[in-house]
Amino acid sequence: MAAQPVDILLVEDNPDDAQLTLHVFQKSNMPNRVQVVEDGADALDFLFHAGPYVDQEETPRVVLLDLKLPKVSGLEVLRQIRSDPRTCKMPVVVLTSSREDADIEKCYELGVNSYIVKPVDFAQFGESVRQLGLYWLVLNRSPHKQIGAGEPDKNNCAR
Amino acid sequence: MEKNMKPRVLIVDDSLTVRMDLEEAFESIGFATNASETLAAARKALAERSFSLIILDVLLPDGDGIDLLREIKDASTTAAVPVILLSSEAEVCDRVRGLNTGADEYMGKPYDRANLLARARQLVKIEVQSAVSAPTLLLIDDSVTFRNEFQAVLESAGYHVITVENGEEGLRTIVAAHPNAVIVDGVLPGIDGAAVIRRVKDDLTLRDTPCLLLTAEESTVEELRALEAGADAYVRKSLDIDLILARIVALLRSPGLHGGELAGAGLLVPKKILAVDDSPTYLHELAEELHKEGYDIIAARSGKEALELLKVEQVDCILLDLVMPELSGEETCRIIKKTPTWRNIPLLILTAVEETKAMVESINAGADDYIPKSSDFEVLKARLRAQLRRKHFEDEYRSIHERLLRKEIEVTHAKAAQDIAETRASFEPLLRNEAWLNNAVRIAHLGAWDWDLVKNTQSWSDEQFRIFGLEPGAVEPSYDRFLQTLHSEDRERIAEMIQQALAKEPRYQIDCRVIWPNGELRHAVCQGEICRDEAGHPIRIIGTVLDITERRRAEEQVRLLNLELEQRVVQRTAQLEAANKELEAFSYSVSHDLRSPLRAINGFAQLLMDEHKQELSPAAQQYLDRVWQGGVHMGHLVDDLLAFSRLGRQELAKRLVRMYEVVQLAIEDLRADREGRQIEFAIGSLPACQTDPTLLRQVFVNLLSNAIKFTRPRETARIEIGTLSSEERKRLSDIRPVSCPSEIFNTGVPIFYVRDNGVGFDMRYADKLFGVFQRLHKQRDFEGTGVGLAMVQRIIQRHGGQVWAEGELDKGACFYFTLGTPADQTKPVCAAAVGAVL
Repeated sequence: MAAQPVDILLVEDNPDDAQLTLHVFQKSNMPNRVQVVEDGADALDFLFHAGPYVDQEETPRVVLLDLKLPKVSGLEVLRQIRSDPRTCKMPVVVLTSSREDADIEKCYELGVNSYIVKPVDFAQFGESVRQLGLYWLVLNRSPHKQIGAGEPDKNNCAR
Repeated sequence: MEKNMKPRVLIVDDSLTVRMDLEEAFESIGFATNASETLAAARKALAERSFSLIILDVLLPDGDGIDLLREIKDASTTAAVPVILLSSEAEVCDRVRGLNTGADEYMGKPYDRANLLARARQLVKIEVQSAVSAPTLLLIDDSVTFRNEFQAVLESAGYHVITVENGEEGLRTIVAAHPNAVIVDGVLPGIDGAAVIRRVKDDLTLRDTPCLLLTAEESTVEELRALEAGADAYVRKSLDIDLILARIVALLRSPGLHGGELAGAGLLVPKKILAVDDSPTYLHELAEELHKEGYDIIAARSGKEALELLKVEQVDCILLDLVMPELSGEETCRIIKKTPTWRNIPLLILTAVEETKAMVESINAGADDYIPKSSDFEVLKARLRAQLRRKHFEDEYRSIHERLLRKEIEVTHAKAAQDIAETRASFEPLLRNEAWLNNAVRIAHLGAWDWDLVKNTQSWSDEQFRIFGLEPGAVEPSYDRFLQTLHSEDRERIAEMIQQALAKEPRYQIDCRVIWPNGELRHAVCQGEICRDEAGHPIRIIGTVLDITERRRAEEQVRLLNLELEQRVVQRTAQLEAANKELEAFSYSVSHDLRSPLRAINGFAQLLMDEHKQELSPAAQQYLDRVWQGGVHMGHLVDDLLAFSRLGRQELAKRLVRMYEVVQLAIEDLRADREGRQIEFAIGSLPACQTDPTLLRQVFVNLLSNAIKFTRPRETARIEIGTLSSEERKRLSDIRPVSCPSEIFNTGVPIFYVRDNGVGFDMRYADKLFGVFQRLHKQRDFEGTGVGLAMVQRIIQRHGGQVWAEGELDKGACFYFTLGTPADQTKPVCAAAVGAVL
C-alpha cells in the first residue's frame, strides 16, 4: 500500500455511508487524505502497522469510528486505541447511527473525544460531517505525536 | 320347652277313672294332657313328643312303673322331666325306691287332687327356672382324679362346676359364689366334710344351700355324722354315677331349697305325716283316721325305714311308736332330733304304755309331745294340729327372721354398692382428667420421664417408649438406654449439653434425632427441668420428649418448596433478563441498521437532485422527490418507534413536580409547531404531582402537538389544559368510557385534561386512538406516525394511571388522564418543597 500521508482514518463498513462521507469532504475543500477501512480488525492493523499495513508509517490526525463493525466492534477498537501508549492520545470521533444512551455512556467511559449521531437526512448529515472535519482538522490542536519516535509517556495515557 | 306352649303332662295309670279325673284336673289348670294305660303306650308317647311333667302309677298291667321311671331318668332327653309317682303302695320301701330312682314326688292313693296339682305346678315352674341357667355345683374333694372325673360327668349333665380341694377353700367359695348345691367328700385334710356342712347349715344365709356328702365306703357312722351335721343327702362314691346324678337332681328340686318361697304356701298344702309303728293294723287305722282330716300319711314299719324315708322326703310331722323292735322309738327320736335338717320336724311319741317314766324318756330324747295310744283319735288330732301350728309359727318366725336378715344383708350390700359407686363418682373427675391427659399426651406424641439422680433411676411414660420406637416397658429405662436411642452422632453432644445444664441451668431443651430399632429416623425435642437440693446439687430431672418428626418433615417440605420457588424466580428473572437483553439488542439493531439504508436513500436522492438535476426530466425529478420524502417519513417512523420502545425500558424517576411548569416547558418545546398559528392556551388549576417530569413533559408535548396539529383548520385555535372540577367529574362519570373504572371519579385523584376546538374524531374509533401506528386521519390532511398517543398511554400506564379521550367530528377533542391512585400522590403541596422541573 502506498505510503500516502493520511489526515483521517474512516472506519465504516457501509460503502454508502463511506461514499457519502467522502463526498462531503471533497465538496468542502478540506484536506481529503482519507483512509477508509471496512472493519475493526483492519482499523487496528492500520493504526498499529500490522497485517497488510505493516509497511505504512502514517498516523491519522483523527479517527472517525462507526460502532457496529464486522470482526472487531467499534467499542473494542476504541478500547485498544486508548490502552496502547502509541495511540492513547489520538483523537477519536464516534460517528454512528445509534442514539442509544448506553452506547454514548460506554464510548465516553472509554475516552472518546466526540460522539456524533449520523442524521438520516442527508443535508443534516452533510452539515455534520463538514463541521466535524473543520473542527478536528482545522480548529483543533492535538498533541504532536509520532509513532515509534522515542519512549511514549505512559502517564499521559488515561487508560 | 317352648315359652308360649302349653305345658304337657303324661298321665300313666291303668285306672280309667284316675286318668279321666287327672286329665280334667290338669286341663283345668292349663295343661295339655296325654293319658296312657300301659307302660308300652307311655313309652310310645314319650318317643313321640316331649312332656313337662309325668304322673306315673307304679303298678301297671305290663310291668313296674319304677322301670319306666329309671328309663326316663336315664335318657338324656327326658332326664330333666319331673315325675310324680302316684301309687296305692303305701310301703315306705316303695317310696324310698321311687324317690331314689329319681322321682320328684311320691304320692299315695287315694290322692288329693288339689295337693297333686299344687305340687305339679311347683315342679313345672322349678323346671322352667332351672332351664334358664345352669345350676352351679361346688365340688370339694382332695383327690384330683376323682375331682376331674366327677366334674366332667357333672358338666356333661349340664351343671356349672366349681372344684376345690379342701374344706377351708370350700367354705370361702360357698360364701363368695353361692353355689346352688355343695357336694363334699366326707374325708378331707383339715376340716372334714361333715364339719363343712355343719358350718354351712349353721349360717342363716347359707343354710338353704343343699349339701350332699360323699363317702368312700359304706359306713353307718359316717352316714350318721353327715346327717347329724345337716347334710341333705348322703351318697357313696361306689354308687352308680347315674344314681348320684339323680340324687343331685332331686336335691336341687327339693322344695326345701326354696323354703322361704314356699313357707307361705305351707298352710294351703296338706301336711305330710310320717307315721312309724310296727303294727300294720294300727298304722292302717291311723292313716284312715288322719286322711279324713286331709293329711297325707306315710306309713313306716320301723325306725330304720323311717330314717330311710326322711332322707328322701320331707315331712311335716312324725308320729313315732315308742316300742318297736330293732331301733326303738326313743333311739329313732334321738337320731332325728340330732340331725339338723330333721330336728325341727315336730315329733310325737305314741305309746301304749302310759307311765311317767316313758313320757320323760321320750321328752328327753327330744320328742315334742307324748300321746298315749289309748287316747281318743280326736285328742291325737288336736295334739297333732297344735304341733303343726307350732311348727308353722316357728317356720314363719324363722322365715320372717330370715327375710329380715336377708333384707339387712341386701341393705348392707346396697349400701356397700352405693359407697363404691360414690367413691367411684368422686374419683370420676380425677379419672376423667387422667384419661384426658393420657389421650392428650398420646395424641401429641408427648412422652414424660423422671430421672432420680440420687438413685440414678429413670421412669418413662408409655408414650415415651413409643417415641423411642419401643413397646411400653420393653426395656429398663435408664440414662444409658436413653442415649442409645439417639442417633450416634448426637449422643456425645447431647450428653455434654445435659452435663452443662446440670452444672448451672434450671432447665434445658435439646433437639435430637432418634433412631428406632427398625432403623427409622425420628426427630424429637427433649425438655428437662432440674430439681436441686438446698445446696444446689441436682437431685432429680423431670421432663418431656416431644415427637416432632411430622413437623420436621413438613418444615423440610416447606423448605424444599421455597427453594424450588426461589429457583423458579431466579429462572424466571433470568428469562426476563434474557428477553430484555434480546429486546435491547433488537432495538439496537433497528436503531443502527434501519437508519443506514434510509440515509443512503435520502443521501443519494439528495446528491442526484443537487448535482445531476439538469440531467433529469421533470417527471424523474418528481419521482426522485417522492423517494426522498419516503425516506424522510421512514426516518421519523424509526425514530418514534425507537423512542416508544425506550419508554418501556426506562426507569421512572418520580419526584414532586409542579405540573404548571411542565406544561409551560412542553408549550415551549412546540415552538416550531406553533409558528404562524394563532393559538390561545388556557391553563387552569394544576396541582403538583409525584411523577417523572421528563416523561410527563413528553405526555404534554405529544398531547399539545396533537391539539395544535388538529386545530390547524381553525382560525383561532383554543387549547385548554387543567384538572376537572367536581361538577365536571360528576358529568363525566355518567358518560365515561368502559375502559375507565368508576373509582377514578369517586376518589380524589386529579383528572387532567387537554381540550381543543379542532377537527375532533369519531367516537366509534376511540379505541384505536392509543394503538401504535394507528391513525384516524389521512396523512395528506394531518401528518404523523401514529406513535404519539401510544407513547402517552405507555407513560400514563407506567405511572399507574388511566388515559382516555372524548371527541366529536369537527367539534374538538378532549384527552383525560390520571397519574395513579391517591396513594401514589402526596396531596398537600407546599411550594418550597416542589423542585424545579428538569
